[in-house]
Amino acid sequence: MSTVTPSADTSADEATANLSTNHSRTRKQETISFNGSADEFFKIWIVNIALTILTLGIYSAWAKVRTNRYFYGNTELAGSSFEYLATPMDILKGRFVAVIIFAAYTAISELWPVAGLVLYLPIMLVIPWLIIRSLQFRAHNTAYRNIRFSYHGEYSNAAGVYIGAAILTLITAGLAYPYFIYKQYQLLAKRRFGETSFQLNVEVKAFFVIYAISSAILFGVIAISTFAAFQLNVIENIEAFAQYSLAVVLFFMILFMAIGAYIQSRTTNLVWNNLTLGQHEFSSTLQARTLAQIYITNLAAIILTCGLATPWAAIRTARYRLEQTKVMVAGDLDQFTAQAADASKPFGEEIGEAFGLDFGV
Amino acid sequence: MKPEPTHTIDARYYDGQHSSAAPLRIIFQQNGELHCTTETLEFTVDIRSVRVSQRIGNTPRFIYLDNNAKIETHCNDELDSFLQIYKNDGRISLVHRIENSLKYAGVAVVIAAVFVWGSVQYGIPAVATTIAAALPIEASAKLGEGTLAVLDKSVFKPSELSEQRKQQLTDLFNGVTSQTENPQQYQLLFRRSPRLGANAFALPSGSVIITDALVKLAKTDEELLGVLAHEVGHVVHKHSLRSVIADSGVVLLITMVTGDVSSISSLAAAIPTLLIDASYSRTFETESDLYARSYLKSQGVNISHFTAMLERLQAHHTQGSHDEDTQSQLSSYFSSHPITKDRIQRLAEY
Repeated sequence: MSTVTPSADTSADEATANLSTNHSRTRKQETISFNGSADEFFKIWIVNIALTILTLGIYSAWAKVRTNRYFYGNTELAGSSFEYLATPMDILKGRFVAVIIFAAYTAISELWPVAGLVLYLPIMLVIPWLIIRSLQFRAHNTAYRNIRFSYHGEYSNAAGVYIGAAILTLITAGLAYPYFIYKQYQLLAKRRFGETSFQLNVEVKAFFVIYAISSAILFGVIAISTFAAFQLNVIENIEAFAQYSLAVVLFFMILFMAIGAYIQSRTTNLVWNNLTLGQHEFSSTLQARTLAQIYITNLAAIILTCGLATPWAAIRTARYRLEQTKVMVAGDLDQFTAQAADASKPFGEEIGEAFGLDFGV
Repeated sequence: MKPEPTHTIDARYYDGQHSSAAPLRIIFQQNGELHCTTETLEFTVDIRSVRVSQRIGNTPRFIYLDNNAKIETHCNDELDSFLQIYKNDGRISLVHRIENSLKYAGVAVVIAAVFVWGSVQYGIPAVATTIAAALPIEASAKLGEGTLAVLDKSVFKPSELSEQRKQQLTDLFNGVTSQTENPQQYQLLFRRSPRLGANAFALPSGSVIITDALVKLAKTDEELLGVLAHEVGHVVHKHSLRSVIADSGVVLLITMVTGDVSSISSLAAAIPTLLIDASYSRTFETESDLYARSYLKSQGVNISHFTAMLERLQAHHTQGSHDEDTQSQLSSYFSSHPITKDRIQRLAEY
């Protein structure tokens, strides 16, 4: 799913001259609107698939660009839309390098199995670099009102998350996972719109609360349903259990999606509500129940239509998520300025993108 | 034909330095120029000298000006007809025309459906077979690691067959495996399982497990020979490995086609994967049946022994008996097997 990077700005019409006085003024709320339509996107989506098949996969770079442009272009804030700037060539180039690296790695570990093992360490060290490149690519190729976003996180920041916090999560048997997620969002927030930086002021405690509640719900439901199943003698009889296996799979799918929707809505709200861009704030009002309903009905529709409902699902998910996001504009917001080095491309950013290190925020 | 001389559209102008959006009025000129006016600016650009973003659905278009400035407009149709005349941009809008047509969407659905069907039916199994053949035996063995230990703890009990009987069956089994490339890979194990009833399993490592109930169910050793050869066939053809590779192939295909790795589509992929997996395992059973058939033939054993055993197994699993040892609670041997009638017919045909 293409999720658009946050940005803040508002209509020029009510621009006031005295910027300095608007610090504690009332904020004007601007809702992000999403104008994509399912039938329009269906045709784009299916043509993308057919052309990708007919060109033996090469068109997939064009498909990706067209899909992103469709979602970005339909995301509108204060009368202006977002723009995805990457070209299919950027994406092809990155994939080309990625394939070569992967082939080299496979060949090396095939010829010298020991080297394959030794290479794990450099690979672990390279991952933060790739993540930074990927974040740079995403930010750099997003523009709003002809001002590009950019990413200013560094290797050490990403290493702290994907090596430091990741190892901590491993040795605490997952208990530090909310901390890992928290660090991930901190890393993600190191963005700029033009020359203005985003600031994320969120406490790690809030992440632990979200995950504590969701684990409690998850284990509670599993305990109750297992108990109920034993009471009904469903599990006593293995053959009967086998008959219910599809129902069991469906039950867990729905359970996991509901929990996933809970975590996602709470985390997204938490992050947006504590994010600022200059003097402007954001608000996100995703509801776990609505999001869960969307995900579950999406899944049902996709299965029942053999996948043909995928574009419809993508559109309605994007619409709900984007339209629950608002920008609390402080006074006049036509004052963002472009970065001087805006046009220069960060080195190797396409490679990060090709490795598919995508984040949905 | 020249276009209407003064066609006017509304747009927004961004200078590239600031985020302010200036309302802009564009007048299409007969000479291919755009006459643009904002509150403070007035300029003219030749449409042939600037880049215009491609049309995608009804998303707004961007006109990229020389000085890094940009124009954004929602008036797609007006812009397109102007471009048509002055920029002769037929090639660029081709994809949009395809995307905008219901007919082509139908063609695209057919292409995608044929591709998915072909991949699932032929492509993925062929690739899985090639990869599995290239991988060393250790790769197969790794898959089944620990499986036996789990089964021993959960459903298996030690066999109660006499040592003499076990030796007879092991000799039969060694006869089958002596025809394979790696006879030392194979091992016959005896277990008793009230739950599984008369059953036989092959682990990817080459261990074949046979239950006491199955041994008792067979009227002759020739009947057991067919079952043993069938299980060895699973190992020879690396069915476990192929099934794992094919499953990942299906998941890859689905993510490739739906074009995103989001949680929705991977969950949606789970059910088709289950169904396709069941169809692959039926194919594997047929392959193993044929392996058993050709082995029996090479030994001069009539195929009717094997088909008789299959029929008896089916009867055993559909009715179940009250003998604790042969009672079947889980007809796993049959769950993934083709209908016995079809199997027997196929065995007779080849």
